Amino acid sequence: MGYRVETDGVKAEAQILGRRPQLAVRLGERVHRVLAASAGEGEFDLTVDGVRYRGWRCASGDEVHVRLNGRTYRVRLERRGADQGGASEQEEVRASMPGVVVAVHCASGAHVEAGEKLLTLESMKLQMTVVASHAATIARLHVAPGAVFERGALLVSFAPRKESES
Amino acid sequence: MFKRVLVANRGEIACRILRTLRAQGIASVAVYHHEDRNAPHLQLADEAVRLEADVPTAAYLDQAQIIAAARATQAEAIHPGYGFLSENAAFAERVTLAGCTFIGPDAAVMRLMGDKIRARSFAAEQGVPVAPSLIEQDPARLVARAAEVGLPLLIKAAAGGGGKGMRIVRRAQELTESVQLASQEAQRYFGDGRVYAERFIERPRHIEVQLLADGRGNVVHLFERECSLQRRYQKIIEESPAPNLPASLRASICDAAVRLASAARYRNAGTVEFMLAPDGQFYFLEMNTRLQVEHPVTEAVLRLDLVAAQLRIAAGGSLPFTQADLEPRGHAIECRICAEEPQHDFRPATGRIGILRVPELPRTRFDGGIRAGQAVTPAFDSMLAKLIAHGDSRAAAAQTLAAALHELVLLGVPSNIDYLQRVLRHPRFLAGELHTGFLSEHAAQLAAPGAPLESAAATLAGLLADEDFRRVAYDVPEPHASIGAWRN
Repeated sequence: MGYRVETDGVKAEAQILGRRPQLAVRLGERVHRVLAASAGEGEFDLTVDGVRYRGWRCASGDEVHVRLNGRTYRVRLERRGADQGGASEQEEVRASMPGVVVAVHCASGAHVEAGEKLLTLESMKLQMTVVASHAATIARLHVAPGAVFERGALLVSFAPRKESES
Repeated sequence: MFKRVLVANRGEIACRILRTLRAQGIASVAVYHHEDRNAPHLQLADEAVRLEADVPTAAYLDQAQIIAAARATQAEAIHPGYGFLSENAAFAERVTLAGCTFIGPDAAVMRLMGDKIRARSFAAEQGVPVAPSLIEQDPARLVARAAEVGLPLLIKAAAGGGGKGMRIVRRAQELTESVQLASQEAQRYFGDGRVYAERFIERPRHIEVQLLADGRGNVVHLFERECSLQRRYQKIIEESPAPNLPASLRASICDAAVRLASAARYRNAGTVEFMLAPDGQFYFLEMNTRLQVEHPVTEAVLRLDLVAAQLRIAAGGSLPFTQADLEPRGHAIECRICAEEPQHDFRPATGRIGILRVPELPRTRFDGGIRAGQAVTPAFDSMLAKLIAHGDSRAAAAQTLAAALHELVLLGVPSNIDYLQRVLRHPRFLAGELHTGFLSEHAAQLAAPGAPLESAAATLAGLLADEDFRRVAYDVPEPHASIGAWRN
């Protein structure tokens, strides 16, 4: 069974190679022998290649946050062979951080030119203007002024581009 | 002294104030929005009153509901904490009219200091230095006259604070837009779109002076704090005393602050903020007429309880000590623990606090208003807690604070805990070479180091937290698992 794992932005392939006499996991190029004395969330006690590690871990969305020796790691797990996406890339604007909508400068169905203002957003003390990256027609506006959104929230969808457009 | 006090705030500062009330044997009332119904400040109060509002922050800004809560619970005084209504003169007046005591200065002084333009001319009249500036009602005239002060300029909101409505302009062509944006931002935050321009000083330090005044003519300073370590105009590490500050300069800055507060007939705890230029010249920035986030470092070096002092003054008492009684001991450093991602320009983060383990090291203090299971949403400020360490020397305080951060476990929402450790261990920080651009100047070195040896162990710990991974690793029927791909 293969896994794609990403730790603090560094990607690696993980594979369980065997479990006798002890669990062997290949991470990238290296094979590690693992003894886990605890399972699940909370405090963990793990021996990797003869070195004992004790720390804390906690699931957060699609990540596991691991506290080990005064440092927090963010581990993201993905099964290999899962849909890689990218086939039908949605034309949309998503929030890069949580915040609030200050103003809306466009409307559903309207055509906008590249660089035209779409939204004014604010996250904590920072205000920023979101502009269209290309000429497009707005299929749907998902937020109104005053709306609070989380990171990754869909803000604006564009209509699919026609073949004839270049 | 008051028998019952209402705390019109939430989070760590509400908890902080409630602890002193408890220690003084004063009954306490907390207020809360539904979203905070399980928040720790409710547990620390004798009773709690729910405030109705659609938006959580609006609850803590609802003057009428808060005053009604005070009357219903027979609270004699209201402590506003910081933020929210703490610097709202109209609120202070309404509290007084309702027959309650507002724990703060007179409304007139709040108005004076709340208007940055009036405050700086008042300071100048008292002989307190102010930076060269341009004050114009009309944004267009401000733009037209910018050359008089010269670039770079800092555009600031007259009613501002906390970096809101503030913009640096380095090129003439950015001026019009920056003035416009700053004015709009100021209008939205403070309901007052007036802005002014000030000479932007490169590599300044931010030094502030803590004051206590009883409104009977007694004003003492509680020495200075260094607050130069900022990101996005907001402080993240503060300390007292300020490192490498010549004694004569320290005395001049503290004297200027006392002069200002005395002239304003100030009452309450308060802070006068200054900008210190590399040439040793200092300029008045603003006066905050409330308790500050970073007050614990002053409490640590002077062994004082500033909230207790505020209560005493508000109840009509006089200062329990004179300037000569105050002698700072050792060094204290505070860091602000925020739900944010330093690697992505400190953008605020959200999540749910899954695990919280607070370090218990000698001479450390954890001021928090969080608990495991609590959701961190964009509804409130991203600051979750503060960690403070005291030491005989600055180096000792920095070491203890870094060690405490090392032990702190706060999982489930991204935070700046590891980043703060790197700052505290940075050689230039330890040398005390501070200025407000420190964090950007050393950004490359302060970035998270590449994957260390432990990264593999952390990755494995993360994999083993996954139920499916564990099932494959341990629970699969023998043949399937032993076949594997094990060849070595």
